[in-house]
Amino acid sequence: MNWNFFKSKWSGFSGGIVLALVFMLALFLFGEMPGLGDGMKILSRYCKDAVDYGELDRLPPLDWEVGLIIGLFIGGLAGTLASGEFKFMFFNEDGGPFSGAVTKTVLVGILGGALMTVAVQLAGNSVFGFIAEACESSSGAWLFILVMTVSASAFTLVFGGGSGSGGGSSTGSDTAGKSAKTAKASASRGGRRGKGGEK
Amino acid sequence: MTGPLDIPGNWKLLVGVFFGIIYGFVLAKSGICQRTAVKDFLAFRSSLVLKTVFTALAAGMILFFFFRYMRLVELRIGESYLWGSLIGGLFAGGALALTGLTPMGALISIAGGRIYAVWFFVGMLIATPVVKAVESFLDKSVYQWSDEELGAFYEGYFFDWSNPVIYIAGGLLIFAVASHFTMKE
Repeated sequence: MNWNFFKSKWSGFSGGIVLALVFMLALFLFGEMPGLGDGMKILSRYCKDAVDYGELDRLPPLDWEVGLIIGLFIGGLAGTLASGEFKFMFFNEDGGPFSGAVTKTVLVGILGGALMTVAVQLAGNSVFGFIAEACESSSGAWLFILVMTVSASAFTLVFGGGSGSGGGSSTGSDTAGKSAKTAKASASRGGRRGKGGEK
Repeated sequence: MTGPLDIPGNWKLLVGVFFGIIYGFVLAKSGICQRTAVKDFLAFRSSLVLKTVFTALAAGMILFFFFRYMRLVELRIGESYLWGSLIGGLFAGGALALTGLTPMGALISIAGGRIYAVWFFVGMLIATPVVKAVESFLDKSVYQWSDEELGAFYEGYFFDWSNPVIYIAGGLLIFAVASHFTMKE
């Protein structure tokens, strides 16, 4: 078996096709598209009951949605380890512990999570849940995805997106390395041309 | 709700875990849950997320038709309404622009060692009771603006000139290929 497929970086096209097959597998196995919405509702209701009643004498209802969350964590860990991209990071890629990133990381994360909760409550499903349902030609899913993408791009372009390709991702560091090599190569070619012109 | 396999009780939980492992692995390998990749996509600096999502949508729409014809899957979409999807999309766009994360993306990021994504879930936990508290206001406002449920926009045959899925999937693939040659991945 060729393990290189599991270890190498996937292109957008191959990742997209595999993702579509995973959506269809979910529909075949469970009769609905996979999304975090239902699993999180089950777990948050369990946590609320535990806080209200002050005891944990029974487990949360263990349906496939809860199993999905557990499996996503394990699979995500396996995927990042296979890609060699596992790295502990306590602050986002915009800066380290002495650059004001602590406050920014915490505030931005909390605000983003709060906004997403409102979005999921209003729309009725999570982002990836809607991406999966869009494959079933769901009008609501397509409307949500279009509005989300356009508004996110508009907000990013107007207010600035921060450093997207930072040192935290291998993609970013590879791009920076390639840019430096290209600049060096251009400089050396310019030097050789200069020498030829003089002759 | 059950699928065509109708998996009973505890086995469904186990299958859910194994499916989650596959799904998590695919999401991590595809790279679309990385905060930097999403932010680069939104700023038109990278085509990875665009190519992956557009290809997934195009392939998924086509595959769904054929699997449904083979009776392996059935049409199952959740309830969605016009204003809920519209306003929800705006809020989700704001969250995405701010953090580059979605709930699933945050979970995969934490699995990949990006501990900062925990604050995303903290924000979700803080907002949940607040949203529940204003639910009565939403019942009287947004949920009243349109009570017509948005369903599937096409349920007919695939090989039909009136099938919009052919044109949408074709357009998505053309756009994905064009971005491959015009933007860096």
